[in-house]
Amino acid sequence: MKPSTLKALTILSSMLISPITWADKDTPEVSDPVKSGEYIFNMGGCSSCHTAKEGKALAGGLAMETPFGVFYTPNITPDKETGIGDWSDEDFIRAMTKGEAPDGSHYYPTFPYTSYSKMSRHDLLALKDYLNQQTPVVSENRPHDLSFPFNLRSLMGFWKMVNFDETPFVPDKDKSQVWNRGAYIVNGPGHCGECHSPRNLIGGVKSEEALAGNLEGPEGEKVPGLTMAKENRVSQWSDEDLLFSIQIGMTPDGDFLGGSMGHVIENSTGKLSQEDLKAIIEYLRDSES
Amino acid sequence: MKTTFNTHLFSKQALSALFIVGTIFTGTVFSHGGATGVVKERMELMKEVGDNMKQVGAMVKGQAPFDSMTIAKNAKSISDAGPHITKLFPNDSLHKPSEALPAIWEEWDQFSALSDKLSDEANKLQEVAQGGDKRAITMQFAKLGKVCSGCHTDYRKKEEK
Repeated sequence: MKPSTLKALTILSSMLISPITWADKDTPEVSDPVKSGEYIFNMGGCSSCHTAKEGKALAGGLAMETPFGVFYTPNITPDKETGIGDWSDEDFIRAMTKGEAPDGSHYYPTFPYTSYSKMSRHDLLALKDYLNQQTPVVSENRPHDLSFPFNLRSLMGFWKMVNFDETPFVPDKDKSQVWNRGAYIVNGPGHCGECHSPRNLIGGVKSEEALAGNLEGPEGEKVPGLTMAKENRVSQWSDEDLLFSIQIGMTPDGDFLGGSMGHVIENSTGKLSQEDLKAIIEYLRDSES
Repeated sequence: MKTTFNTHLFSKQALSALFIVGTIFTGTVFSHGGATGVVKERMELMKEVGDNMKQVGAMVKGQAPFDSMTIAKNAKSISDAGPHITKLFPNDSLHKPSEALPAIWEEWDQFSALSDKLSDEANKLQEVAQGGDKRAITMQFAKLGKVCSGCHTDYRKKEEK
Protein backbone atom coordinates (compact mmCIF):
# COMPACT_ATOMS: atom_id res chain seq x y z
CA MET A 1 0.00 0.00 0.00
CA LYS A 2 1.30 3.42 -0.88
CA PRO A 3 1.95 5.72 2.10
CA SER A 4 -0.57 8.26 0.78
CA THR A 5 -3.28 5.62 0.53
CA LEU A 6 -2.46 4.47 4.02
CA LYS A 7 -2.70 8.02 5.26
CA ALA A 8 -6.04 8.53 3.57
CA LEU A 9 -7.31 5.32 5.08
CA THR A 10 -6.12 6.33 8.53
CA ILE A 11 -7.88 9.65 8.24
CA LEU A 12 -11.01 8.02 6.95
CA SER A 13 -11.10 5.42 9.66
CA SER A 14 -10.42 7.96 12.40
CA MET A 15 -13.34 9.95 11.02
CA LEU A 16 -15.54 6.93 11.40
CA ILE A 17 -14.27 5.95 14.82
CA SER A 18 -14.04 9.34 16.50
CA PRO A 19 -17.32 10.24 18.19
CA ILE A 20 -17.84 13.50 16.40
CA THR A 21 -15.75 14.97 13.66
CA TRP A 22 -17.13 18.16 12.31
CA ALA A 23 -17.30 18.44 8.58
CA ASP A 24 -17.37 22.20 8.56
CA LYS A 25 -14.67 22.76 11.13
CA ASP A 26 -11.02 22.82 10.21
CA THR A 27 -8.22 22.93 12.70
CA PRO A 28 -7.12 26.54 13.18
CA GLU A 29 -4.69 28.09 10.74
CA VAL A 30 -1.89 29.11 13.03
CA SER A 31 -0.17 31.07 10.28
CA ASP A 32 -3.11 33.46 10.03
CA PRO A 33 -3.14 35.49 13.27
CA VAL A 34 -6.75 36.55 12.93
CA LYS A 35 -7.96 33.04 12.32
CA SER A 36 -5.90 31.67 15.13
CA GLY A 37 -7.06 34.65 17.17
CA GLU A 38 -10.62 33.52 16.58
CA TYR A 39 -9.72 30.11 17.93
CA ILE A 40 -8.16 31.64 21.04
CA PHE A 41 -11.19 33.88 21.40
CA ASN A 42 -13.31 30.71 21.48
CA MET A 43 -10.98 29.08 23.99
CA GLY A 44 -11.55 32.00 26.28
CA GLY A 45 -15.30 31.93 25.70
CA CYS A 46 -15.12 35.75 25.65
CA SER A 47 -18.58 36.22 24.19
CA SER A 48 -20.26 34.37 27.07
CA CYS A 49 -19.66 37.40 29.28
CA HIS A 50 -18.93 40.27 26.91
CA THR A 51 -22.10 39.87 24.86
CA ALA A 52 -25.30 40.58 26.75
CA LYS A 53 -28.50 38.77 25.89
CA GLU A 54 -30.03 40.68 23.00
CA GLY A 55 -27.06 43.05 23.11
CA LYS A 56 -24.59 43.76 20.30
CA ALA A 57 -21.71 41.35 19.98
CA LEU A 58 -18.91 42.06 22.46
CA ALA A 59 -20.35 45.43 23.49
CA GLY A 60 -20.64 44.25 27.12
CA GLY A 61 -23.38 45.23 29.52
CA LEU A 62 -24.08 41.76 30.85
CA ALA A 63 -24.97 41.91 34.55
CA MET A 64 -23.08 39.47 36.77
CA GLU A 65 -24.58 39.12 40.20
CA THR A 66 -22.10 38.20 42.90
CA PRO A 67 -22.03 38.29 46.71
CA PHE A 68 -20.13 41.60 46.38
CA GLY A 69 -22.62 43.35 44.14
CA VAL A 70 -23.50 43.53 40.47
CA PHE A 71 -20.74 43.77 37.88
CA TYR A 72 -21.43 44.94 34.34
CA THR A 73 -19.12 43.56 31.68
CA PRO A 74 -17.30 46.13 29.52
CA ASN A 75 -17.30 46.80 25.80
CA ILE A 76 -14.40 44.98 24.12
CA THR A 77 -15.21 45.95 20.55
CA PRO A 78 -12.58 48.04 18.73
CA ASP A 79 -14.51 51.29 19.15
CA LYS A 80 -11.85 53.86 20.00
CA GLU A 81 -13.91 55.85 22.50
CA THR A 82 -15.99 53.33 24.39
CA GLY A 83 -14.29 50.04 23.50
CA ILE A 84 -10.67 48.94 23.40
CA GLY A 85 -9.80 50.08 19.87
CA ASP A 86 -7.29 52.60 21.13
CA TRP A 87 -5.29 50.15 23.17
CA SER A 88 -1.69 49.33 22.33
CA ASP A 89 -0.48 45.74 22.35
CA GLU A 90 1.14 46.41 25.72
CA ASP A 91 -2.12 47.83 27.12
CA PHE A 92 -3.85 44.63 26.13
CA ILE A 93 -1.14 42.36 27.55
CA ARG A 94 -1.14 44.35 30.78
CA ALA A 95 -4.92 44.04 31.13
CA MET A 96 -4.89 40.32 30.46
CA THR A 97 -1.88 39.37 32.54
CA LYS A 98 -1.77 41.97 35.33
CA GLY A 99 -5.44 42.87 35.65
CA GLU A 100 -4.65 46.55 35.11
CA ALA A 101 -6.41 49.06 32.88
CA PRO A 102 -4.33 51.34 30.61
CA ASP A 103 -4.69 54.11 33.24
CA GLY A 104 -3.17 51.81 35.87
CA SER A 105 -6.35 51.15 37.84
CA HIS A 106 -7.12 47.62 38.95
CA TYR A 107 -9.69 45.37 37.39
CA TYR A 108 -11.95 43.33 39.59
CA PRO A 109 -11.30 39.59 39.39
CA THR A 110 -14.74 38.91 37.88
CA PHE A 111 -12.60 39.50 34.80
CA PRO A 112 -10.51 36.32 35.00
CA TYR A 113 -7.10 37.87 34.35
CA THR A 114 -6.06 35.53 37.17
CA SER A 115 -6.24 32.76 34.54
CA TYR A 116 -5.44 34.77 31.43
CA SER A 117 -2.10 35.71 33.01
CA LYS A 118 -1.06 32.14 32.09
CA MET A 119 -1.61 32.77 28.38
CA SER A 120 1.31 33.08 25.99
CA ARG A 121 2.20 36.41 24.47
CA HIS A 122 1.68 34.88 21.03
CA ASP A 123 -1.88 33.85 21.86
CA LEU A 124 -2.71 37.17 23.48
CA LEU A 125 -1.54 39.17 20.49
CA ALA A 126 -3.43 36.89 18.10
CA LEU A 127 -6.52 37.45 20.23
CA LYS A 128 -6.04 41.20 20.11
CA ASP A 129 -5.70 41.04 16.31
CA TYR A 130 -8.96 39.16 16.14
CA LEU A 131 -10.78 41.59 18.42
CA ASN A 132 -9.53 44.45 16.26
CA GLN A 133 -11.27 42.87 13.25
CA GLN A 134 -14.68 42.90 14.96
CA THR A 135 -17.40 45.47 14.38
CA PRO A 136 -16.90 48.50 16.63
CA VAL A 137 -19.91 49.36 18.76
CA VAL A 138 -20.38 52.68 20.54
CA SER A 139 -21.55 51.75 23.99
CA GLU A 140 -20.38 53.33 27.24
CA ASN A 141 -19.44 50.92 30.00
CA ARG A 142 -21.93 50.82 32.81
CA PRO A 143 -20.35 51.32 36.26
CA HIS A 144 -20.47 48.35 38.61
CA ASP A 145 -22.93 48.44 41.47
CA LEU A 146 -20.96 47.13 44.44
CA SER A 147 -21.38 47.21 48.17
CA PHE A 148 -18.88 48.79 50.54
CA PRO A 149 -15.95 48.13 50.80
CA PHE A 150 -15.80 46.33 47.47
CA ASN A 151 -16.71 49.51 45.64
CA LEU A 152 -13.21 50.77 46.49
CA ARG A 153 -11.27 49.74 43.45
CA SER A 154 -7.93 50.57 45.05
CA LEU A 155 -8.49 47.71 47.49
CA MET A 156 -7.95 45.34 44.59
CA GLY A 157 -4.22 46.00 44.95
CA PHE A 158 -4.40 44.31 48.33
CA TRP A 159 -6.65 41.60 46.90
CA LYS A 160 -4.02 40.80 44.30
CA MET A 161 -1.29 40.52 46.90
CA VAL A 162 -3.30 37.83 48.66
CA ASN A 163 -4.94 36.04 45.76
CA PHE A 164 -3.14 36.65 42.50
CA ASP A 165 -0.30 34.42 41.37
CA GLU A 166 1.03 36.13 38.29
CA THR A 167 3.63 33.54 37.33
CA PRO A 168 3.18 32.56 33.68
CA PHE A 169 2.39 29.03 32.59
CA VAL A 170 5.40 26.75 32.87
CA PRO A 171 5.16 23.35 31.18
CA ASP A 172 5.86 20.33 33.36
CA LYS A 173 8.79 18.51 31.78
CA ASP A 174 7.80 15.20 33.34
CA LYS A 175 4.45 15.24 31.57
CA SER A 176 3.52 14.65 27.96
CA GLN A 177 3.06 17.46 25.48
CA VAL A 178 -0.63 16.64 25.34
CA TRP A 179 -0.99 16.89 29.11
CA ASN A 180 0.78 20.24 29.08
CA ARG A 181 -1.47 21.50 26.32
CA GLY A 182 -4.46 20.52 28.45
CA ALA A 183 -2.96 22.21 31.51
CA TYR A 184 -2.44 25.39 29.51
CA ILE A 185 -6.01 25.46 28.20
CA VAL A 186 -7.66 24.59 31.53
CA ASN A 187 -5.64 27.03 33.65
CA GLY A 188 -5.10 29.72 31.04
CA PRO A 189 -7.52 30.72 28.29
CA GLY A 190 -10.20 28.19 29.27
CA HIS A 191 -10.22 29.58 32.85
CA CYS A 192 -12.10 26.49 34.06
CA GLY A 193 -10.96 26.94 37.64
CA GLU A 194 -12.72 30.29 37.96
CA CYS A 195 -16.07 28.55 38.34
CA HIS A 196 -15.02 25.00 39.22
CA SER A 197 -12.93 25.94 42.27
CA PRO A 198 -14.13 27.12 45.67
CA ARG A 199 -13.35 30.70 46.68
CA ASN A 200 -12.33 32.30 49.97
CA LEU A 201 -14.27 35.00 51.80
CA ILE A 202 -12.93 37.81 49.66
CA GLY A 203 -13.51 35.94 46.44
CA GLY A 204 -10.06 34.53 45.73
CA VAL A 205 -9.79 31.03 44.29
CA LYS A 206 -8.53 28.60 46.91
CA SER A 207 -5.55 27.39 44.94
CA GLU A 208 -5.02 24.29 47.07
CA GLU A 209 -8.53 23.18 46.14
CA ALA A 210 -8.33 24.04 42.44
CA LEU A 211 -11.03 22.39 40.31
CA ALA A 212 -12.53 20.74 43.40
CA GLY A 213 -15.96 22.18 42.62
CA ASN A 214 -17.79 25.19 44.03
CA LEU A 215 -20.97 24.94 46.07
CA GLU A 216 -21.57 28.65 45.63
CA GLY A 217 -20.90 29.19 41.97
CA PRO A 218 -22.13 31.98 39.70
CA GLU A 219 -25.90 32.62 39.85
CA GLY A 220 -26.16 30.34 42.87
CA GLU A 221 -25.26 27.26 40.86
CA LYS A 222 -23.48 24.36 42.44
CA VAL A 223 -20.53 23.84 40.15
CA PRO A 224 -19.28 20.24 40.07
CA GLY A 225 -15.68 19.30 40.79
CA LEU A 226 -13.44 18.29 37.88
CA THR A 227 -10.75 16.39 39.73
CA MET A 228 -10.75 12.62 39.72
CA ALA A 229 -11.67 12.48 43.42
CA LYS A 230 -14.26 9.75 43.95
CA GLU A 231 -17.02 12.14 44.99
CA ASN A 232 -16.86 13.95 41.64
CA ARG A 233 -19.10 12.27 39.13
CA VAL A 234 -16.71 12.97 36.26
CA SER A 235 -14.26 10.54 37.89
CA GLN A 236 -16.67 7.74 36.93
CA TRP A 237 -16.88 8.83 33.28
CA SER A 238 -14.94 7.32 30.41
CA ASP A 239 -12.84 9.48 28.09
CA GLU A 240 -15.65 9.35 25.50
CA ASP A 241 -18.15 10.46 28.15
CA LEU A 242 -15.92 13.39 29.10
CA LEU A 243 -15.35 14.32 25.48
CA PHE A 244 -19.07 14.26 24.77
CA SER A 245 -19.88 16.33 27.81
CA ILE A 246 -17.65 19.22 26.76
CA GLN A 247 -18.16 18.87 23.01
CA ILE A 248 -21.94 18.67 22.81
CA GLY A 249 -22.96 18.81 26.47
CA MET A 250 -24.30 15.31 26.90
CA THR A 251 -23.68 13.49 30.17
CA PRO A 252 -23.59 9.66 30.30
CA ASP A 253 -27.15 9.50 31.68
CA GLY A 254 -28.49 11.18 28.54
CA ASP A 255 -28.96 14.56 30.16
CA PHE A 256 -27.62 17.71 28.55
CA LEU A 257 -25.68 20.30 30.51
CA GLY A 258 -27.15 23.75 30.67
CA GLY A 259 -26.83 26.79 32.90
CA SER A 260 -23.47 28.54 32.73
CA MET A 261 -21.84 25.43 31.31
CA GLY A 262 -24.32 25.59 28.44
CA HIS A 263 -22.75 28.91 27.45
CA VAL A 264 -19.27 27.44 27.82
CA ILE A 265 -20.14 24.57 25.48
CA GLU A 266 -21.88 26.85 23.01
CA ASN A 267 -19.19 29.54 22.91
CA SER A 268 -16.05 27.71 23.85
CA THR A 269 -15.46 23.99 24.29
CA GLY A 270 -17.92 23.02 21.55
CA LYS A 271 -15.76 24.99 19.11
CA LEU A 272 -12.38 23.53 20.03
CA SER A 273 -10.55 20.88 18.06
CA GLN A 274 -10.85 17.25 19.00
CA GLU A 275 -7.13 17.19 19.89
CA ASP A 276 -7.49 20.08 22.31
CA LEU A 277 -10.52 18.53 23.97
CA LYS A 278 -8.59 15.30 24.38
CA ALA A 279 -5.70 17.28 25.86
CA ILE A 280 -8.07 18.84 28.38
CA ILE A 281 -9.28 15.38 29.34
CA GLU A 282 -5.76 14.00 29.64
CA TYR A 283 -4.90 16.85 31.96
CA LEU A 284 -8.05 16.45 34.08
CA ARG A 285 -7.34 12.75 34.51
CA ASP A 286 -4.13 13.70 36.26
CA SER A 287 -4.49 17.31 37.35
CA GLU A 288 -3.64 16.91 41.01
CA SER A 289 -0.10 15.64 40.59
CA MET B 1 -56.09 21.78 74.30
CA LYS B 2 -53.84 18.81 74.38
CA THR B 3 -54.28 15.72 72.29
CA THR B 4 -52.91 12.57 73.72
CA PHE B 5 -51.84 10.01 71.22
CA ASN B 6 -52.90 6.64 72.49
CA THR B 7 -50.32 4.14 71.35
CA HIS B 8 -52.27 1.28 72.87
CA LEU B 9 -54.71 1.53 70.03
CA PHE B 10 -51.97 0.29 67.69
CA SER B 11 -50.51 -3.12 68.00
CA LYS B 12 -46.82 -3.47 67.19
CA GLN B 13 -47.71 -5.32 64.01
CA ALA B 14 -50.04 -2.60 62.89
CA LEU B 15 -47.36 0.00 63.51
CA SER B 16 -44.78 -1.90 61.52
CA ALA B 17 -47.29 -2.46 58.73
CA LEU B 18 -47.94 1.28 58.71
CA PHE B 19 -44.20 1.89 58.60
CA ILE B 20 -43.76 -0.43 55.62
CA VAL B 21 -46.68 1.10 53.74
CA GLY B 22 -45.29 4.52 54.57
CA THR B 23 -41.91 3.56 53.21
CA ILE B 24 -43.35 2.25 49.98
CA PHE B 25 -45.59 5.29 49.67
CA THR B 26 -42.81 7.81 50.21
CA GLY B 27 -40.63 5.74 47.90
CA THR B 28 -43.11 6.32 45.09
CA VAL B 29 -43.85 9.91 45.85
CA PHE B 30 -40.24 10.89 46.27
CA SER B 31 -39.00 9.64 42.96
CA HIS B 32 -37.87 12.82 41.17
CA GLY B 33 -37.22 14.38 44.55
CA GLY B 34 -40.85 14.29 45.69
CA ALA B 35 -42.29 15.86 42.57
CA THR B 36 -46.05 15.81 42.24
CA GLY B 37 -48.60 16.72 39.59
CA VAL B 38 -47.46 18.39 36.44
CA VAL B 39 -43.91 18.85 37.69
CA LYS B 40 -43.62 15.11 38.20
CA GLU B 41 -45.14 14.43 34.78
CA ARG B 42 -42.69 16.67 32.97
CA MET B 43 -39.73 15.36 34.91
CA GLU B 44 -40.73 11.89 33.82
CA LEU B 45 -41.09 13.02 30.23
CA MET B 46 -37.65 14.63 30.34
CA LYS B 47 -36.23 11.48 31.87
CA GLU B 48 -37.67 9.44 29.00
CA VAL B 49 -36.15 11.79 26.44
CA GLY B 50 -32.88 11.54 28.36
CA ASP B 51 -33.07 7.75 28.22
CA ASN B 52 -33.62 7.92 24.45
CA MET B 53 -30.63 10.22 24.06
CA LYS B 54 -28.58 7.98 26.30
CA GLN B 55 -29.24 4.94 24.13
CA VAL B 56 -28.37 6.77 20.95
CA GLY B 57 -25.38 8.44 22.61
CA ALA B 58 -23.94 5.10 23.69
CA MET B 59 -24.02 3.93 20.07
CA VAL B 60 -22.54 7.13 18.69
CA LYS B 61 -19.77 6.93 21.31
CA GLY B 62 -19.08 3.32 20.41
CA GLN B 63 -20.08 2.05 23.84
CA ALA B 64 -22.94 -0.02 22.44
CA PRO B 65 -23.28 -1.90 19.13
CA PHE B 66 -24.40 0.50 16.42
CA ASP B 67 -27.94 -0.20 15.30
CA SER B 68 -29.53 2.46 13.14
CA MET B 69 -33.05 1.03 13.60
CA THR B 70 -32.80 1.44 17.38
CA ILE B 71 -31.63 4.99 16.79
CA ALA B 72 -34.61 5.67 14.52
CA LYS B 73 -36.95 4.27 17.18
CA ASN B 74 -35.49 6.47 19.90
CA ALA B 75 -35.59 9.49 17.62
CA LYS B 76 -39.28 8.86 17.00
CA SER B 77 -40.01 8.76 20.76
CA ILE B 78 -38.26 12.11 21.19
CA SER B 79 -40.11 13.61 18.26
CA ASP B 80 -43.40 12.41 19.78
CA ALA B 81 -42.49 13.90 23.16
CA GLY B 82 -41.97 17.39 21.69
CA PRO B 83 -45.63 18.49 21.48
CA HIS B 84 -46.25 17.43 25.10
CA ILE B 85 -43.58 19.69 26.54
CA THR B 86 -45.41 23.01 26.37
CA LYS B 87 -48.55 21.43 27.86
CA LEU B 88 -46.53 20.31 30.84
CA PHE B 89 -45.38 23.82 31.65
CA PRO B 90 -48.58 25.62 32.69
CA ASN B 91 -48.10 29.19 33.93
CA ASP B 92 -45.83 29.52 36.92
CA SER B 93 -45.69 25.81 37.68
CA LEU B 94 -42.56 26.24 39.71
CA HIS B 95 -43.18 24.21 42.83
CA LYS B 96 -40.36 22.14 44.21
CA PRO B 97 -38.45 20.19 43.10
CA SER B 98 -38.97 21.81 39.72
CA GLU B 99 -35.76 23.02 38.09
CA ALA B 100 -37.62 25.24 35.64
CA LEU B 101 -36.75 28.94 35.51
CA PRO B 102 -39.38 31.71 35.42
CA ALA B 103 -37.82 32.86 32.13
CA ILE B 104 -39.89 30.10 30.46
CA TRP B 105 -43.05 32.13 30.85
CA GLU B 106 -41.37 35.47 30.19
CA GLU B 107 -40.08 34.10 26.88
CA TRP B 108 -42.81 31.67 26.08
CA ASP B 109 -42.45 32.03 22.30
CA GLN B 110 -38.78 31.11 22.37
CA PHE B 111 -39.45 28.29 24.79
CA SER B 112 -42.20 26.82 22.70
CA ALA B 113 -40.14 27.27 19.51
CA LEU B 114 -37.46 25.16 21.14
CA SER B 115 -39.92 22.38 21.83
CA ASP B 116 -40.95 22.45 18.13
CA LYS B 117 -37.31 22.39 17.19
CA LEU B 118 -36.78 19.34 19.37
CA SER B 119 -39.37 17.45 17.34
CA ASP B 120 -37.97 18.75 14.03
CA GLU B 121 -34.40 17.71 14.77
CA ALA B 122 -35.55 14.37 16.18
CA ASN B 123 -37.59 13.78 13.02
CA LYS B 124 -34.53 14.47 10.95
CA LEU B 125 -32.52 12.07 13.07
CA GLN B 126 -35.14 9.41 12.45
CA GLU B 127 -34.88 9.99 8.70
CA VAL B 128 -31.10 10.03 8.70
CA ALA B 129 -31.01 6.90 10.87
CA GLN B 130 -33.13 5.06 8.34
CA GLY B 131 -30.43 5.87 5.79
CA GLY B 132 -27.88 4.17 8.03
CA ASP B 133 -24.99 6.61 7.37
CA LYS B 134 -23.12 6.67 10.68
CA ARG B 135 -21.43 9.97 10.09
CA ALA B 136 -24.66 11.72 9.11
CA ILE B 137 -26.37 10.18 12.14
CA THR B 138 -23.63 11.48 14.42
CA MET B 139 -23.92 14.99 13.02
CA GLN B 140 -27.68 15.02 13.35
CA PHE B 141 -27.48 13.61 16.87
CA ALA B 142 -25.23 16.52 17.83
CA LYS B 143 -27.74 18.97 16.32
CA LEU B 144 -30.51 17.43 18.35
CA GLY B 145 -28.36 17.61 21.47
CA LYS B 146 -27.84 21.30 20.83
CA VAL B 147 -31.57 21.86 21.24
CA CYS B 148 -31.47 20.04 24.58
CA SER B 149 -28.56 22.04 25.93
CA GLY B 150 -29.86 25.30 24.48
CA CYS B 151 -33.09 24.91 26.41
CA HIS B 152 -31.29 23.76 29.56
CA THR B 153 -29.01 26.78 29.33
CA ASP B 154 -31.77 29.37 29.30
CA TYR B 155 -34.61 27.68 31.10
CA ARG B 156 -33.32 25.22 33.64
CA LYS B 157 -31.33 25.57 36.83
CA LYS B 158 -29.99 22.15 37.60
CA GLU B 159 -30.13 21.15 41.24
CA GLU B 160 -27.18 18.86 41.86
CA LYS B 161 -28.09 16.02 44.14
